[in-house]
Amino acid sequence: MKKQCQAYAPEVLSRFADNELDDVLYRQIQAHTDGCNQCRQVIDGYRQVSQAASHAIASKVSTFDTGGLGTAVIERVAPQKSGGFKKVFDYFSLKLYLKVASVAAVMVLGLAYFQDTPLNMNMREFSELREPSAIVTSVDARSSVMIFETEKSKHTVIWFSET
Amino acid sequence: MLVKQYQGMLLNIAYSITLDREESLEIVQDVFVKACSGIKGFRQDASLGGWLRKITINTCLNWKRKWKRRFRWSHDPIESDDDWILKDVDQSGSNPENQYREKEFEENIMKQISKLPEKIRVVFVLNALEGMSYDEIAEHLNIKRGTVSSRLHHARKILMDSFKSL
Amino acid sequence: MFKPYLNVNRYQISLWAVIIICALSVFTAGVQAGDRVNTHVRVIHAAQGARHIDAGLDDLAAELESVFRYTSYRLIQSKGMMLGYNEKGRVGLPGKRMLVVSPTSIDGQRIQYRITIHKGKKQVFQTQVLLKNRSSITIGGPQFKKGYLLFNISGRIN
Repeated sequence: MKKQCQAYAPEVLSRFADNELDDVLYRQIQAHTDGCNQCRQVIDGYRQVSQAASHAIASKVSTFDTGGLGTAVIERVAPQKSGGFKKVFDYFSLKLYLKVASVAAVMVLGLAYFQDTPLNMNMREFSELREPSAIVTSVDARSSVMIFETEKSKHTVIWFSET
Repeated sequence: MLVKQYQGMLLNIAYSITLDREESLEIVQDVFVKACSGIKGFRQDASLGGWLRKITINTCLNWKRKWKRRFRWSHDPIESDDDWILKDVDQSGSNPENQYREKEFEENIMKQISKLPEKIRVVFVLNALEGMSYDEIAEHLNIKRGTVSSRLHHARKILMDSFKSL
Repeated sequence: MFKPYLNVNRYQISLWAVIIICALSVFTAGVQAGDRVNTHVRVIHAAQGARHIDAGLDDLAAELESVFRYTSYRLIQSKGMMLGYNEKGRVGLPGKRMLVVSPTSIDGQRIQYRITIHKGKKQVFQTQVLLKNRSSITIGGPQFKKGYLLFNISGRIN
């Protein structure tokens, strides 16, 4: 088997393939590759591998169903654009009676929270939504176990391997 | 309009970093939402594509690696490569045999890319997919130019060696 | 002198009677509500294939789909049980498996459950969880018919 040309380090040839060398070195290697088949093949190989990878990734991604992407983005952006909270608080800053009303509302809701009323139940349920549905205090399986929770409603999931 | 124009490019980047279809779709969705809310802060003289690309790379690299992701990888026999090949062969017009071989080749490349360590893969795909210069990659990833060069060469060497052994 | 004293006593007695009756009714209601735990177990077969979600899983489907990549979720069994504390509820599962679930105590707004899964004579899994009242946990893992079995266990006390 013919020995690989050692004139330039492979990393330098890789940089040559990307046109990332200074002019002097670039011209030297260009002149070298005119007569050195091996180095030319290495450089071609580097370029081809990049092209093939790029093509493979694009080809794979082209099979993705992106139909709902635009709609999903619009749905998520729309409420932000209306600026709900900001507008409400701007309004509050102008109307004094609304400030008073808000204090009263907070007091009523606060009292409701500490009383046993249906409203209270809903508020508790709301605050509890942030907690995991189950706290795992001990677990034992013959093999691996994973515990995780769903992002939205913190539903606890345990996954175990039976074998 | 913004989504249609840039979704392909951003999905390519996100998928090649995460190697997960659903995760890359989620990331790109997040990127567009971030872009829409931050569009006022975008410098008019800068390239919109470059700006979106930067957000995508940052989002991918900062994406929380949750149980979900590891779980999906370990328990998913499931995003069947066979389906993918068949789907595309069906869509192809002429010479199914060549199309099949081509897809098989692409599938092998994807497998080899997915074996690259993430740090090396990110540098490689930004160069290969986006044609980003060493300086640009170094700036995006906050690493030295020399590190870009060595990682890129390392990726190419691994990929070329793996193809030789096929 | 005597009359007002008697009146005060009557008021006090009535007041105490009302308080005791209220306390007793609250206590008995608590005992009635607290001595049995409404426990519901759903056995689900998750697999790849044509997209399908059984109607009985509507409340759970979105949660499952957010973490699993399966496209078909079939409810293969559903069992409701009123269990006393430390009473064991048994649910027979496919593949000679058995799920045993037992509420052991109440901790604030959470029900403590001990859950075990047996395959044949061997216990293959056990856990203790504090389940939020009126909430559920999903346990999965056993392979079954080109997919996996999931068990959704919910608990409720009044």
